[in-house]
Amino acid sequence: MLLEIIFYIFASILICASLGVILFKNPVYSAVSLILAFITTGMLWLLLEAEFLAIVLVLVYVGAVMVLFLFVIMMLNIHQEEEKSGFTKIAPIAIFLGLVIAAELIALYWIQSDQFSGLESISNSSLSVDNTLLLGTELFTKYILSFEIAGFILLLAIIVSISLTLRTRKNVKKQIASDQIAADPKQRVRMVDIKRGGN
Amino acid sequence: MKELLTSFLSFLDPQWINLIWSLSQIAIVTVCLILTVVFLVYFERKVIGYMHARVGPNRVGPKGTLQSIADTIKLLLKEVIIPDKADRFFFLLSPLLLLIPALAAWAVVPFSPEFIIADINAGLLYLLALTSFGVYGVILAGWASNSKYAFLGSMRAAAQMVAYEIAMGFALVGVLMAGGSLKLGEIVAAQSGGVLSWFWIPLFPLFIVYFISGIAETNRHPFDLAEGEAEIVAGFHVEYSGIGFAIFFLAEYINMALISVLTSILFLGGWESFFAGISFLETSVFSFLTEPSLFWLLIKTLFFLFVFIWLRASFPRYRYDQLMSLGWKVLIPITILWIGVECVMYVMQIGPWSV
Repeated sequence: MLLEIIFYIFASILICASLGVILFKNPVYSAVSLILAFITTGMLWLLLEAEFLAIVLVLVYVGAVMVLFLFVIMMLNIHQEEEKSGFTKIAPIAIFLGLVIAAELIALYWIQSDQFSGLESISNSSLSVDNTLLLGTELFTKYILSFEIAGFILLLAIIVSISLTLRTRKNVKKQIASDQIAADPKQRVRMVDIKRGGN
Repeated sequence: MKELLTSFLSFLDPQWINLIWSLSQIAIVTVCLILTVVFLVYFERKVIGYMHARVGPNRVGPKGTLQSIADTIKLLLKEVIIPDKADRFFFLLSPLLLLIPALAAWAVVPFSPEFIIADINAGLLYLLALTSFGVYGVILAGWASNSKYAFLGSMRAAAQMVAYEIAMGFALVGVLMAGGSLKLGEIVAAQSGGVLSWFWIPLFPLFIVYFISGIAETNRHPFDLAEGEAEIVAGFHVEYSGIGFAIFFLAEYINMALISVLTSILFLGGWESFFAGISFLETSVFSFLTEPSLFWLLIKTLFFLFVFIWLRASFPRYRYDQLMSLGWKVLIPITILWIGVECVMYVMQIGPWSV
């Protein structure tokens, strides 16, 4: 009973936050609503006793991804989004995509609901099991190949995006620490004896 | 203590007794933390004073001990000024966004074998998530102030926190490999024994990297570019007065204490005694010196707090590009390298841990 009350509180916060993401005109407010949505999703996962996934969601999305989002939004200095000009143009596509996602979810729920009952029993029985350990063991034994491939793709993405943005400019006044340390006063300062003129 | 509470409130449901018990623990920790911060500020001003060959605060109370309390009262009584065209909502919210994660992180800190508010399974991850959450208070404060200086401060803070969080996370990976658990209590238990069995010896580079990135995460000298009073006035909190400023100050010092206590727990054996494992002490009348207790944790924490202050008095501030190159090009490679070394040590069975 208590769990259900908590669930519905979090679920309604999640829905409000998700609506906030698309309804706020100020992009910073939208980004902060998205952060709230991520945190509330994490809370919902905690209710399912998936503490590892919940904390990793908060750690990765809230702790790193959204910081960069906010960074970009603030740097671009968009204080007010322009009037929703393209709204009518985008709306049909958006509604279509929304319907596809909804249909997929419903299909998953109705057609394959018998497979979910197995999952439920796992989440109920894992009261004393450390699910970080469980996930780690599964990932590094059974699913090692797909895990490694995913990691490799991410590494590739990092290298590619760095190589796309990396550019070397000429005439940049850059500090070269090794040159500074190697500097020798004998090469820099020339002591000169100046003849003193008579007065 | 809990038995006493249970017998006293036996007419209540055990669920409610648990709730009251947790709430009272939280209250004790919070009050102790705030008192710690009050005297930490005094300690800092005194220590830096003597390092600069000054006396430091010496007017309010005996030897100036009540100076911080006087300052707090002054700050609380001052007017809260909200700048024109500032974003009121985030301007008022962001000090709390910094303070709440700073306090919430203490929930998983094991003070002694008996006293942990919540010994959760993913304690280490929880800490990492909460320390990274604090950056929003800084970013939003700078943005909401509608001031160029504050905004520059918050941009610097964002880049710095993201960079140093990675090094910090990798250092924690090393600890969890050595400890074999994400539970902080079990990590301390894995270090049981004397000074030589603590993790600071096998994980020495990670220990140094963790503390350095901890300083960077708390925006303290020499990494306090987000404040940088010589360049951008006071950085992200330049527009805050009165209680808003006081909360930023409080959060910064609580975070300092958190990093100190975590360094002691993860690398210096937490509540374990310095003298544990010395056989002639264990059998003599001084055997109480070898017992694990809260006292040892406090001594270690106090030492790291002193190091924070010491560094502040000793080093000039880093330049922005130096800060970034230190984070990305020095600290992260060191941690990755040492995790590799640790893997080899683990397989070869060198080191204090057992499989």
